[in-house]
Amino acid sequence: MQPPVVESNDRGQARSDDRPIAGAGIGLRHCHLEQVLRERPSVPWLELLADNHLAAGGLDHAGLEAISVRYPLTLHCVGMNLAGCDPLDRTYLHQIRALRERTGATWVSDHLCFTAHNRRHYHELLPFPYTEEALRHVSERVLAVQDLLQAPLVVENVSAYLRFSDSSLSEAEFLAALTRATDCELLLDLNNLYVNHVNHGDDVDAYLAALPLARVREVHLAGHAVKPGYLLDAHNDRVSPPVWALFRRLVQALPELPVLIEWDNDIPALPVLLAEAERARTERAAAVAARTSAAGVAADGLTQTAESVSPC
Amino acid sequence: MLSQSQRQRPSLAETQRRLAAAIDDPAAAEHLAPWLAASVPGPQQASPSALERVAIYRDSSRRARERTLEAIYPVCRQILGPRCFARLAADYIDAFASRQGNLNRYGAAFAYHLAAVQSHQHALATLGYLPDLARLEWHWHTIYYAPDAPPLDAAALAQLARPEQAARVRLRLSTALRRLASAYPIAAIWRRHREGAGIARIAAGDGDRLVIHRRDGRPQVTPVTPAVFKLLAALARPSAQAPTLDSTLVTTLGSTLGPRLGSTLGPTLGPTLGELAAAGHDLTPLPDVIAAGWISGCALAEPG
Repeated sequence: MQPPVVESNDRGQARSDDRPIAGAGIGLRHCHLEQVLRERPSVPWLELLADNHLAAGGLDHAGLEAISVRYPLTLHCVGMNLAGCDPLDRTYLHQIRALRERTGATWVSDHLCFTAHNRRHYHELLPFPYTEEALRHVSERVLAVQDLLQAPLVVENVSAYLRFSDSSLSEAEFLAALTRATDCELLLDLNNLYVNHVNHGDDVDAYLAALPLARVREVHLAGHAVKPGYLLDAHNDRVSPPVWALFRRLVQALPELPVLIEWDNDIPALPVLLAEAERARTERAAAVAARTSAAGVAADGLTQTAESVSPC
Repeated sequence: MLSQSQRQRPSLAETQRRLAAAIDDPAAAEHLAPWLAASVPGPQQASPSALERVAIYRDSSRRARERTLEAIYPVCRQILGPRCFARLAADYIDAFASRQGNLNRYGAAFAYHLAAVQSHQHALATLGYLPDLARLEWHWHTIYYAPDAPPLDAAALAQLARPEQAARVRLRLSTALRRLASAYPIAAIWRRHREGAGIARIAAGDGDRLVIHRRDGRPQVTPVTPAVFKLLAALARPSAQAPTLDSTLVTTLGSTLGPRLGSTLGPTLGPTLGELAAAGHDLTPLPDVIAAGWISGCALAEPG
């Protein structure tokens, strides 16, 4: 069956860039593209894995036009190699810029990591030491990317399985300094934060206190895999209870922040993803209601804000 | 023995080089280990050692590339079996680094890898058709993502040139088209496995000449005659000779090429139809080639 293309009643409609990114969206994966075009599920926004949509033609290329008419979009990248020491791949960045212009994506994000070295690509989000040298290096590259994109870059915290002994900054301190140096924005992945809490004993409270929350543009939620002695950021399951608890806490501070469900391995049927997004919506609503209620009580001097204890 | 504080801290580039090397080769991880932080006791007991943590990245990085090969070469995997394919994929990953961030481009040399392995492994030597089958799967994969190339419309073409100008016409093959010749009946082998049709004896015949192209967004495999295959190959070559007018050509194309020709070609032009005719190519199938959507542009060469 051929996927629908832009239908006549879509033409002339406002494109995604005219509509805001708000509420609970899902990461659109290739296997769901045709179903989303066909069924037009009610989801407020979609995030595209930009690296999967760099083809110059074909069905996906055509399908994106229809998707961009129907949904507000953002682009999520894995190939900028922001902390890498190879020259920035300007061809890739021009492709991302063209994809953004073609889809009207509201913003572009990538990860605080390196992905290639000496022209060998590892297709992994690799860690590096958080030092002043690295901060200068990453800042220069983020500025160059933003100059090419002519837009703020949204930078995401990553899960890590190892840390370097010569790091002089925490990840949150590094990200905070990066926003000051480049005016970039942040994508806060709460699953990554929780994975690092388990894998490295990171203090969640200290992390959130060090992060400039006003610069956070988007939240990611995803599932992880429990391995012997560590958590793997596998994006292969539903969001775990501790990560939902973190989300409820964050909503207390940032009630309007757009949130996205990511699922990349063992991808389930589309309704499962949509149900996770719906849960994010209801979790947010409940947390906001609890905050309002607690604030009312606090005004009477009887209690403090809701859920002030660490979820982890 | 120097303590870590007495050693010079490696630069960012050097740290990355060491981690990359440790992913490529487990033995290289020892050069990274002194710079890794000790595991912090957390809620999880018996957390992995520093070197085991490097292995998490190694496994994940290799698995991403292995999954890509599995997705691109499903029929090869079906024929070889998952374990044998995994072994061949692992060898390929060792031999061929990924040179682009776009994983869709990884795996281009898998057919050559299979041929090289066959040359020294008897167990695979009986599957002589395997490298060509891999080439077919690679073309099928790449054609899905190839740039759009709207087919040249025969009616529009008729508006572009007068019949007596036909010999000066240059045609451009679609960018969403690949050709593949094999001594084996690989199209039948490929189809039977994709359709799960079970094992059957397939006559070798004269082998296959195939066009892999995209129609309405979907890759298709079409067997063609040797004459058509040869003509398509000629159309793909850059022009070397001056145009030569051939009156028989005008007759052949009389129903297709009309009064005027425009220039809808890009910079990569094939030979003129006159050159093709002078070189002895049979142009009779050309209208069918155009009707199949395999031509995406044309231009009129300057008079010789």
